[in-house]
Amino acid sequence: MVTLENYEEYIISYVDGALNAAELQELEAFIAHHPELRSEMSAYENTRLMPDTSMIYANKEALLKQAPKRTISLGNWRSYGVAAGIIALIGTAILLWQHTNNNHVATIVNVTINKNTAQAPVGPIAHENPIKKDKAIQQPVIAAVNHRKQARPGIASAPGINRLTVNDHQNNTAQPSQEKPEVNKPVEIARITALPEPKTIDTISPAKVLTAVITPNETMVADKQDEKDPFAWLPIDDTKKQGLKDLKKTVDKTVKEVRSVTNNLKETALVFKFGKKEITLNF
Amino acid sequence: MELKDYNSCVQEWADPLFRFAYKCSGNEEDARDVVQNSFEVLWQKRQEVYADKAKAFLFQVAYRQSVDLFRKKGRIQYTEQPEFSGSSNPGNPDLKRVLERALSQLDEQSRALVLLKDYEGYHYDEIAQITNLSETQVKVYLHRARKTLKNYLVSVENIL
Repeated sequence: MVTLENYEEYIISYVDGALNAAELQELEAFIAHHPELRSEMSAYENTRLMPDTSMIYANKEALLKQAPKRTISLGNWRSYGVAAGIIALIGTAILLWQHTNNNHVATIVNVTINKNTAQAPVGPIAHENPIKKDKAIQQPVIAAVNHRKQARPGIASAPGINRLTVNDHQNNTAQPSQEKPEVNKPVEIARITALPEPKTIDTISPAKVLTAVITPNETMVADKQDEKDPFAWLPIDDTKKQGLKDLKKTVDKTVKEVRSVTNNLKETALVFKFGKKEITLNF
Repeated sequence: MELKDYNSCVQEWADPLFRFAYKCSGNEEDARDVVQNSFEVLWQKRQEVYADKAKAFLFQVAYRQSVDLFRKKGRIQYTEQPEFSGSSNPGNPDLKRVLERALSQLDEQSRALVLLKDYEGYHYDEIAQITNLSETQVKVYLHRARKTLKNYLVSVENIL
């Protein structure tokens, strides 16, 4: 209740805007009963300060902040890069594995050339390729080509094999009198061709295991192409030429397969997800 | 608070903060420093300050700095503003100028309380938070300041 003792407090609270509606009404009623206090109330009202809005802080823009440029720390990217690299490697390996698994695999254990072929004719091998026999080229070489299912891991993985033999079965089926005897014959060669003296064998690509994807028919075609003898001009032994031919054959197949894998990859997009981030690799 | 909240604060509160600091410290250069420092502190603490509390935070920093500045530099020295020329009533000086002088009669803390109350319309409890005083203290100091101001105005009116 407003009294002559506390009216000043009420007036000040009123000036401070701290009175509620009831208190304000009470104060107004009290002043109405004490008009002599109206001037005092007016004086208190004059103590209320009014901000000078013309007073402004110049150059406000200097206080504004700009959004920092987004920088991505190198460290993070390094780890992302390594992760992406590892996954890409694994992905490529899986693709390759799936691809090769659906085809016949020929493993060339060794491509060898016998320096001493002229002195050491190899009968069984000559029988194996009658076309070449007609040209009187002795066959030194040889690639042990197998269907994958028939491959004997022990032989295929043995790097240092230089004694080669041919299956009896092959010797029997490949008769010199037949024309194109190998065209329809699956290549199931052999493990190994025999040479009389291992010491005389010179390995051109020693202990190198090349894996290629070829089919028997392709092998036959390749054999026929060999008749053109692209290495005829080379001043080397026929035996070495034959070795080069076989090497060329294998490399051609490998290049072909790599191209097909590359073409597959071109149509493939790998998507890696790291949490919310997604990285798409297009080849 | 985010960057955009901070920049909004600059646009909205730089002027009121400057007026407050200027009236507190009585010096324009000091007031500019206070404003600049207050916003710098807000920027540094933006992770901890909510956008709706930013204004109170700014005034809290500005209050402390202004009071410290005043205490360091001694009494306030208001720059005399030029008289109004051609005033229709030269015998009755502008109430605003009288109030400026009246304000200089107050101590730095009371002055800041009146400014926070009248300029910014803060309630007692809000002023208590900004000035780190109790609500009762704020009320008592404010009432005391009002009386001082009122007495000054009345005395000037009586003289004139």
